[in-house]
Amino acid sequence: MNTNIIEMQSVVKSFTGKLALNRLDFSLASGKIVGLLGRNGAGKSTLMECVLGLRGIQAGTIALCGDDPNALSQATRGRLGYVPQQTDLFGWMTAPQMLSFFKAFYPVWNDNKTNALLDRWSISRTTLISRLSGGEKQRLAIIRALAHEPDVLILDEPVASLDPAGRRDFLRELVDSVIARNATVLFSTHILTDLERVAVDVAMMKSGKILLQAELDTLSAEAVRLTGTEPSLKKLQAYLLTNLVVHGVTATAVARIPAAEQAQLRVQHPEITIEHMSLEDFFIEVTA
Amino acid sequence: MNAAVASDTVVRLGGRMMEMLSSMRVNYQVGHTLGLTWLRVYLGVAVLSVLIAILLWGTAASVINALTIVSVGILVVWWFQFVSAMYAMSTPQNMRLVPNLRRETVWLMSLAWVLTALLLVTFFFLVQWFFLAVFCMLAAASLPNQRQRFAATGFVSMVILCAAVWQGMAGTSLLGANFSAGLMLDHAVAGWAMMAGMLAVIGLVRVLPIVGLVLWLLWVGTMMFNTRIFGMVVLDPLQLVYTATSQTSLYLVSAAAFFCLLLVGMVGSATDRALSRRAEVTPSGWGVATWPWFGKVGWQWLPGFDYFLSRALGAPYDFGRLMQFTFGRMLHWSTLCWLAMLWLLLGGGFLFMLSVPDGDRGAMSMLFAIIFIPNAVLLPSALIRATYRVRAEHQMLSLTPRWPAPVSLNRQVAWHFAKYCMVATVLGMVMMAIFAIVYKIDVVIVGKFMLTMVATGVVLLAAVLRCHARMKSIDLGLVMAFWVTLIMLPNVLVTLTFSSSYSPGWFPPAAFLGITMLAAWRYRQFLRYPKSLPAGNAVD
Amino acid sequence: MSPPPPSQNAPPVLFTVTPQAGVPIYMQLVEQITRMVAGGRLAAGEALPSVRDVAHALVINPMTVSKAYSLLETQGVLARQRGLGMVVALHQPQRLLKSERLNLLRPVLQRAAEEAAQLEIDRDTAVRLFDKILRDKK
Repeated sequence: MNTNIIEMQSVVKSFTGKLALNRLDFSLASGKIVGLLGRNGAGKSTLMECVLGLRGIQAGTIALCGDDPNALSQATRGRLGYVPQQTDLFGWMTAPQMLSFFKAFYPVWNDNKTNALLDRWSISRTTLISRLSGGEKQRLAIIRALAHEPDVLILDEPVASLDPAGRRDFLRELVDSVIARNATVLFSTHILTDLERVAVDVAMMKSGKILLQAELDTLSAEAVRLTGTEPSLKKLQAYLLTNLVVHGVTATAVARIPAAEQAQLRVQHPEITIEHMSLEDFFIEVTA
Repeated sequence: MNAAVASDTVVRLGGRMMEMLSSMRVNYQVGHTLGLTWLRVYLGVAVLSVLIAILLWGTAASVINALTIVSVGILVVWWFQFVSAMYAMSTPQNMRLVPNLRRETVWLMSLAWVLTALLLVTFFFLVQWFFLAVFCMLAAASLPNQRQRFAATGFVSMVILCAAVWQGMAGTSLLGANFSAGLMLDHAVAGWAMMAGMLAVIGLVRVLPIVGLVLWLLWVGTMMFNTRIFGMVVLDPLQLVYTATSQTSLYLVSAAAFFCLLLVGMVGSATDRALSRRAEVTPSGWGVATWPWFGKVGWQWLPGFDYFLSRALGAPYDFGRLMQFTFGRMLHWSTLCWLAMLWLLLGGGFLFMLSVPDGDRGAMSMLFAIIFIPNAVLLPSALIRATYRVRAEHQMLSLTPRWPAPVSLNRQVAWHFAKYCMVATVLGMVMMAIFAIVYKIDVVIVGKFMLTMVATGVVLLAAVLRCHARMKSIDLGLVMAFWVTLIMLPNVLVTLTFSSSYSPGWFPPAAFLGITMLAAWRYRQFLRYPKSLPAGNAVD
Repeated sequence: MSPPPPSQNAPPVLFTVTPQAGVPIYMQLVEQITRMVAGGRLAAGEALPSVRDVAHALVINPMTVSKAYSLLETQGVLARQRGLGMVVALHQPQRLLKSERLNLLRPVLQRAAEEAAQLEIDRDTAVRLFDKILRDKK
């Protein structure tokens, strides 16, 4: 049985000569919470849009809940929740109008939740959406995406224009009602603390490829910075993820070493310092 | 049965219907907002045309003409939206979209609908529009599915409307100063009524295409060889208009239109009441929300003005929206089509007015070319711009389980269509202008043809975009543009060559006939993806 | 009846987490709970807040909390008890061994030592600071 919600195989997508997805392979198992990390232009949004069938691809195959994204079944569409990066949509309606409009297109709709969230996130019910602030629009988009209780959530920078308190509140909603339901979540972000709080897996993207995909806890235990002499570091070449940066006699590099081997290496190579890195530092250096 | 009982029955029947219709809260709210947009468009066009009339001629008659054209346009739009919405709602597929809509509603509406259609057909069977409408509808009926049938129907509806409008105005400057002459447009209303009637038929009967084919052959025979197979029944509308039949039909159409407007008003008020009961959107709330200055201006002197607007405009647009939700991919598509139609009406007014002074015909043709060629570019660009804007909205909708079209727009393809439609239209227009100068063709015909081209280009483009949002290859755009050109130019030649003495009465139907048939035929082929299509190389 | 929202009747959660610390969140929880149990702040038999409550209060993935709890269960620090959820195990394996408790403290101090070295703080000052912090705690 195939339990992968998303299955992408050597997907190629280019925009007038620029390669946005470069033979990308990616899969997302059911029930996983995956944070998609990447710098601007790494292809995060493109990946999501391709998965949802909002953009055509040039080569490769994609399956979303087993469907071809270009012909998603009704059942699949009913399971999907999507928060796009562009949130200034349906500006000609007010929030309740937009929500009741969308309600007509779903078999399931949780009115209590939408109302509670509108109240909690204090979104005006009489103002046109086009006149709401960026953060309010984003929150409204989140409400829309959660209202039909989807079990596959695809969130494209869902907290980009929210303040820290707003982000915390959104994450709490995610933790309480989405993750608790065992939903599958793919979200892109550049705010690492959020990712660390809720994600189980992390996938790092760079120039249209998935650089690495790993369990977050494992990765944060394995992410290390090595400092030592150039020849000594070269001996650990197999672990290195970045090129050596040489300052005089010492050189540094970022590596991923399984926790069990770290202690062993410390003994074997006392001349090398092995330091733990925060995920953020790791991310910045690896995707540099 | 005495009058009281009869009226009571009507009220009860109406009340039941209204009650059921009032469950369409969602669309109604959307309708509010769009209704207001429309009001602004209407007012804008009205003011513009009056200003133009004053600037150019400064006569009371020209102002009245301009106003007449605009107001008739509004009536036609309302009528069409009402009827098409009824049609839209009477299919099971669409019922799902409307929460809590009851089965009886649909039956009741279908019944009212068919009765209206029958009424109109009975009184207009002598008019040529009947035949035109029948076979256009039948051609449309042969399309494989509801959505495409509807798109094609919309297309021919617009074509017939335009034709009818111009025919009514053709070469008759004696109509100029006469207000009631504006009601010559009853042909237009009749044309729309036909459309409406036929829409019902299309939805119900599948064997009609064969009948349509036979009718079409007879029609073409009449047209091409001037044999007048229908000589007994098809009368020249310019003669007809001065007969008793024509007068009767005029009154009947007006009566039917007003009946429908009344119905629309009733639906509006019922919906409004339902809305007030829910107390979610207060009658003054949405106006202020849409026009911020609404709250600042002292509207107290006109209590309920906002309320009145919501009632008068909200409900018909509610239907309009429903229709679009059901069939449309782009939320603003029909807005643009209607805008295009208003442009055309305005253009018709121009022609109407210009036909009064007796100027140099050749120079006049050039003037028309200058006036209308930019339109050929502007309208499709506007459409495409709107496509951009709504693309993201459309994408969100295409991800919902009940949105009828689960694919999103391909920008590149849209652009190509737009470009080639523009090229084809401009080319056709320039050719026509040259024809006009060389052969000293009647200025009205030239103008009509140009308007026809703009209309055809825009509607064809829109229809294609609607039904083929996700084309796999842009080569089809080329094919389509090629066909647009090919359809138009031969028609010019054919009608100029074969129709007797460039009869203003016959010209538009003949041209439209050819265009419609070829377009419908081509369109149908087009709707089936050719096997040669390279799949999977879409760029957007 | 649907379960009440976690924020209502949940006891205040004793733990804190710091993302970006370079230590996985579940490890932070494990270390904290182990320290609390070892130091007696969580008495034997005391019930721990439910996974849901902790996840809600700290805004972290419930799975992370479960993972920490399970790990502690296998280590014998916590025990699963019917109706109560997780409780502090009655027989702590390393409860009274001071050396083992010191071992738990070591990684934190090790990191502090690394940072002290980076900040060029001499040994005496660092020890004095630690001493002061300890005294302030009391």
